Amino acid sequence: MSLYYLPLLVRSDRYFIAKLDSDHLAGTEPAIDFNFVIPAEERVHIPVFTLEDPSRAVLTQMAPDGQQDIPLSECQFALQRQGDDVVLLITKTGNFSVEPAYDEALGIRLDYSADLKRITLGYYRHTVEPRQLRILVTLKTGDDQSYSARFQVAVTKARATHRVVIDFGSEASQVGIRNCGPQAAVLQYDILENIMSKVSLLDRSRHWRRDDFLNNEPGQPMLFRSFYAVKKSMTPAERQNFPFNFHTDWREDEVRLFITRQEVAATQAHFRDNYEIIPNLKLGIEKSLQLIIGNYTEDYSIRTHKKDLISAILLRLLRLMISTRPDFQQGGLIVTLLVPNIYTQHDVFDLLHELRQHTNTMLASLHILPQQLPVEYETISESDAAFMGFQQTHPEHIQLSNGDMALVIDCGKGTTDISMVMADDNENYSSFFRTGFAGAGNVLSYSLVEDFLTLALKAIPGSNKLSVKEFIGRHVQDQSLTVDVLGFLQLIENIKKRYNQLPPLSLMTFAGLSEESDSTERTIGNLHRDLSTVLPYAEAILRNRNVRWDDEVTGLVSKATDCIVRSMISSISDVLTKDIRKRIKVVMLTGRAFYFDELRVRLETALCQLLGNTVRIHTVAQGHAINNKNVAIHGAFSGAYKITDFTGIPVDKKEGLSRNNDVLNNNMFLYRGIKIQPGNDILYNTSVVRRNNQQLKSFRNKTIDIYFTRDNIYLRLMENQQVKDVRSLYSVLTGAAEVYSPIQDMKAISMFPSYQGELASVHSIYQDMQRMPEPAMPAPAKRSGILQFFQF
Amino acid sequence: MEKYLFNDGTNVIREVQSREALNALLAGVTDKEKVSIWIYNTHEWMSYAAFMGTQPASEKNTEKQKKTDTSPVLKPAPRSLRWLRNAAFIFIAIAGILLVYNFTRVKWTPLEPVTVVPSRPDNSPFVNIDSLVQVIEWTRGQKLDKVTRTNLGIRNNWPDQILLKAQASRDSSAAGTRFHDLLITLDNATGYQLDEVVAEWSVWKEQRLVSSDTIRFEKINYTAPLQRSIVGEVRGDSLSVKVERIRARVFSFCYAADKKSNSGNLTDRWFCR
Repeated sequence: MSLYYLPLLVRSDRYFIAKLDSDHLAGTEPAIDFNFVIPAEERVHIPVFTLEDPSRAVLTQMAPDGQQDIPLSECQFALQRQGDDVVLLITKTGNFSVEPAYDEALGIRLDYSADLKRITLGYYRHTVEPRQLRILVTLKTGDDQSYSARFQVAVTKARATHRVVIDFGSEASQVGIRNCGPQAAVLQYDILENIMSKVSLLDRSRHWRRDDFLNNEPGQPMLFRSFYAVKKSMTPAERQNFPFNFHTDWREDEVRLFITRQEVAATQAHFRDNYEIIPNLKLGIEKSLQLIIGNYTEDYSIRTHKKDLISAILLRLLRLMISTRPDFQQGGLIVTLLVPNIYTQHDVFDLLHELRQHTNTMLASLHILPQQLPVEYETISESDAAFMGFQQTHPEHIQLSNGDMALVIDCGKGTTDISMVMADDNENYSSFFRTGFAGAGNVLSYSLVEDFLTLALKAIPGSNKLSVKEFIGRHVQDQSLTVDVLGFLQLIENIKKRYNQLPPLSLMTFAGLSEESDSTERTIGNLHRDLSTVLPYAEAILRNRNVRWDDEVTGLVSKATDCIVRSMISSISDVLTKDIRKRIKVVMLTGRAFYFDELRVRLETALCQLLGNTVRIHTVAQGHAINNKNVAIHGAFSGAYKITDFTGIPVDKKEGLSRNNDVLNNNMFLYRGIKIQPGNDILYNTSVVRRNNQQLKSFRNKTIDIYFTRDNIYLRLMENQQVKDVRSLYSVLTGAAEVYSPIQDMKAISMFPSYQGELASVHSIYQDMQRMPEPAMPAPAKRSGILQFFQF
Repeated sequence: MEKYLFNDGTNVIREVQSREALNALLAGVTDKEKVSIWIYNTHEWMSYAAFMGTQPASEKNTEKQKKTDTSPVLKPAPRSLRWLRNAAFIFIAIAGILLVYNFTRVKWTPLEPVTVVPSRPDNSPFVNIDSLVQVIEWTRGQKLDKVTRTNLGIRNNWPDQILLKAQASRDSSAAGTRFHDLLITLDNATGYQLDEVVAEWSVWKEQRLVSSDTIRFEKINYTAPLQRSIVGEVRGDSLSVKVERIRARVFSFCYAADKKSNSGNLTDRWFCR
């Protein structure tokens, strides 16, 4: 039984690869593949689905049953009604034709423009009537077989529809909103302020301030610190839907969006007895929650249930927004999630699936019917969005011609995301390479913690008796985020933010710093005498001071910076073939970790070595309305339709994309596969497919086609234009990152302080990285022939 | 340039800015087994043996050589007549000077050496610390921790724990009295390292000040008295010495001889941050 894939452009801003399954599959009623929201305006033709360039586009056949691809140029296109459903009927006739049609009752029309080379299924009415439609894309082949993709499409009024972008960060989250009506501006949603208003309604006796919440980011009201808590005990009935039971009392919800400082104070036990705090959900920490369900306990792995927990929090954020904004409660929502590049395609689609599945439950908790508020979900890579945001706000810095590329490195708190985007001659950008790793600002923070503790516990006392690793394990990791730990970590973050401005003190002068209080003469120098008070006393002594310690004593901060830079360069050096290196004209550095000057400077030096001195490197300056954190939010609204739900493109490890003219012309890579040369390995993000893999035995010495679909990436072998063999790329991937221990160590450090296992010292990670093979740097070009005798 | 931290086993940590300075410190230590060295850009202390193990062979040879050969290395003299001639000239010149000096110098008769200890300064009277602590605790309504009590005691009764002494040899002649081989000794018995002590020594003649100078001690350890020799001689009837200034951040102590107190608080005159 065959299987076809067809790329559709939804609205004008989203590519979606439709999967056309056989209509004759025995069993259950075919399910809806996906749902879309189409904001429509009166008397304006709005495209719903568009097929671009039908003379070259192809229905790709992906089952090894000997059937061929079907070019759209051999098909007839027609519009049909089947009851309440609309069908875009594609019939294989051998000739290309389009039967324009208009269903006045529904407002759906089918058009073809030979000039624009587009077949458009659109919506047009004098007045927009919000309605939900099922639209089928059906292929009829000559042998009475038919294959369909089924979509739920909600037509809504543009002014009643909103786009929401959620940046779910490791350190802090933020939300942007824009109305789909004309000339709407991007607004940021103050999550904490709205939570405070909800909590105040429940307890009018208490007046809340932002400082009362752990989630407050001082000086940045639009950022919401990622501190969430999960309820530990529940009834068996609640466990059925955990964590998607939405409670009317936000304080008693099974997933708490907020935590107050009072709740984590040492004198309070109630909160800690009932809730477990999880600060770094995005990376999927290796931690289990002990849930108490009725009379038994359950070991609930955060890593395995990452998508459930993240979906639960995202739905609660949406729930908060909908409940606090009356204009959100009717119309439609298109929700875009910024996802890190370490998420695989499966991670992304699992997340989207969870969100879609539980949205109706969330709406029901607000007494909103699903048809009142249809919600669509999509994702965009964080680094891609950051680039688009920068391109929109600083267009003079990004002027790329057809085929030119930009390298984007987004270095946040937990993850570093790297993309390469390519421009076409219309200044549309598509993302063709994405990679990422866990290891960013938190590695720097950890190095500062380790540096300080090494000085206080070893260098100043003059002996190696005290172990920094043991101290961190016992007094930080095992403490479950007490106020002392949080206060100390906040101190470290403050020092990191102002690192370059703070003058370093010599070791002995630093040891002499004391607390500014009459009844005590505690100094840094005598901190080591009582380990249980190191963290609170360190915070008390260094708070409000404008100095720091000498980092040259241990060199740990410098080593951590080197490790991050090296990881970044290693991530891209394999894919930087000669042709791609030449095409990269611009580098963009974004993310709050780059406010640490040393990291930025070292990376810029390494990039100039790798890409040449002519490459332009841009950063987002600190202290502006558009900053390193929110530039991605603005970019996610850009409607860059070629930057879609995909998460990376496999490339030939040796040739790069030099043999794939389709990609370099930026025309067809969503239609045709990428050809990998025989004998070469395939590089996909941080993973590698070895050509000698047993599963690829039949592909040996042949050219493999690689096809993107929305839920998989297929390797396809063709013989006589018929599909001979199909494999999933994921089944043959070897995670290159899994091989290297320092990369795993950096991932563990990224989850500090919640990581339960042993954390390697920055020094040992640095040494391990030094032993790893150096990333390939280009050799200086030698002049050949007569030119080598001339010096210019 | 490599930098180091040096611990001679007394837990007084010194920051060393160069390899030469480290070598100088190492040369002054007799028991090298107690020495720990921290090389900048590493994360722990190393014993002396481990440190030497990390050094290149040439450095180790130099160290070994230093142990056995303490005489200054002289350039071997070129064997030439010119060298002999220069040596002969120098010898004759020295001999001539010595002869002239011998017949013109004043003859001095050695007397008993003199030892001078400064009296307790007026601005640091004796304080009963136990009573003082009781009063402070009662006034503030909270107990002072042990470190604070100790430091308060040292600050108020520092003359009992920071001892200054001057010793000199004395000669007399028809021209008067002279002092030479002046040796200033500073004994720190506080148990803390002092950052700086400035002492002033003075020579008097007929009740009038003839000469005066200050001498500065830095990073004064508490394990052994520190001595400083003053080269040269001075002529006068008597010698005196006093403490001008002391500074010790570790127990928040700043003393100055020309002040009554730092902040006007006479129960803790010399407290500073």
